[in-house]
Amino acid sequence: MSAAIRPEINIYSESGDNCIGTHVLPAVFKAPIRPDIVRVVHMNISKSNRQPYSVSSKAGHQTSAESWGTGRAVARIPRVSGGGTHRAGQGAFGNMCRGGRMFAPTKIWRKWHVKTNLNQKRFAIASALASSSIPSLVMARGHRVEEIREVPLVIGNGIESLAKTKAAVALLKAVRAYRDVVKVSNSRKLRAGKGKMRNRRHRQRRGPLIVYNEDHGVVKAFRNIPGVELVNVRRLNLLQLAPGGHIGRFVIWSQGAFALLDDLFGTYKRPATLKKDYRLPSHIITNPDVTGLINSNEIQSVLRPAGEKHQKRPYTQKKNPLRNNGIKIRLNPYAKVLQRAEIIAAEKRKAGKIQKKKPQYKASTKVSEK
Amino acid sequence: MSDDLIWLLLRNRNSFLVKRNGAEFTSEPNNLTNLNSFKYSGLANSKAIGVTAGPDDRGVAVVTKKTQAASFRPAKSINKVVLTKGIRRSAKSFTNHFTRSHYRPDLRKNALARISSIYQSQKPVKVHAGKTGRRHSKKQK
Repeated sequence: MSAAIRPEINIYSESGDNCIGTHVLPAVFKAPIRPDIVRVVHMNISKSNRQPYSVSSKAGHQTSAESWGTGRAVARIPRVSGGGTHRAGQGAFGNMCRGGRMFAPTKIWRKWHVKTNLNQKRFAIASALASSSIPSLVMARGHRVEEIREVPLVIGNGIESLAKTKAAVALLKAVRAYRDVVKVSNSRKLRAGKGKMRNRRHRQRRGPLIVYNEDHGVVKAFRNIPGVELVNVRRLNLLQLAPGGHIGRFVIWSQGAFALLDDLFGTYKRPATLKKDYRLPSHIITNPDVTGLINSNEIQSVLRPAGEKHQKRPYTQKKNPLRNNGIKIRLNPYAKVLQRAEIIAAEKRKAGKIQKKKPQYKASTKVSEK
Repeated sequence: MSDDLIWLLLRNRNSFLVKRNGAEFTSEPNNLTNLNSFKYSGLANSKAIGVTAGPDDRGVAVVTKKTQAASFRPAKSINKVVLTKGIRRSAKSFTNHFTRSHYRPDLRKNALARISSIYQSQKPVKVHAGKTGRRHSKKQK
């Protein structure tokens, strides 16, 4: 487990790289990582701010069409009454008709929101936080964190009182997190489709998420940097911790926010104090190191020894004895004698010692004309 | 965190995955064959070898990961050795340093193949007198 390897996390100063203290790794970073739960919860809560849409309730019904009934040699679909225009006599209302309503017209009272259980949402957030502390997963999400000092990255409380964006950029550069911002800037592309004219003109990657405890200017300092998002530690949000349902967001913590995590989520020994009756989710297995388990003495000592190596085909590949001479000779040693005799005969013919056998024809029995 | 678990978490979902025309590769760092498998994965394995071209496209740079504890400090989590003394001597020093010290001996062949092909790519392009077609003359610089 990660906790056994590194019980303490360094806290870095906001001015540069020097370490100004340590903090015990909060227990939430040891929570089970369940991408399936994160994905489902993300899918459900991302539905919570949808704008209802529907077609007009009158669409396709603003006509007084009536069916002509049977006996007129036309389909019994309602038909527009009257005359004088081409519209008269055309089918109406049906979804198969030109000018008719759609099938099952969309309604604004569709079930837009999906309820998600509170414990599931908390599980997903704990899971997303745990995966944000593993460099491989953060890199796999696409964040450029190869050069940063530590994951999770904790900065002293001075970060919360930064007031200028210039200072914020300097900080990101000092902790070598600015590469991730550059990645965002370079990724900015024009959106495909109608979204361009609906205030979603560009699309870009996500950069680091900055989690603070108290806002003494940090939000205004950072909010204009491309891709950077800010959130108060008390209002951690899965949509930001696992954008797109993909775990491993690059998170930069302020010291105060980091210190609050054990109160927010509790530890494996005591429940959370800032949530009511909350305990961290337990693990299904305590040791996920499968290779280590298989190779352990306890397992290896009780296994029966491996059997003899069983090969379906002892040779590498089947050879055709008609084409492969070596295989042919192995099957039929006399083939070699035959081949040798043939070669010798060929040499003799070449040297003129024997003539090539001429085909002998019988003398013609036909009576000549003379 | 165990390697096996990390592999399960990222094998189907990571930004390095390249799926194109039915082929599946990965562009992650420290992957010798660029195949998306646990054995070759540079992200999931706590011990992995990466071979890239050396600085200024001279020789090769061999990267290995340090201990698992160091992996949480990404800037300090890798060892990098630059080998520039030619293909045979580089291959020999690779084998002596990594395989003989039992650092992922199963990757020896793949690492040597990668070292070799990087050296091959650094050779100047030969100009054949006979072939002066447009396609060929484009190749040389």
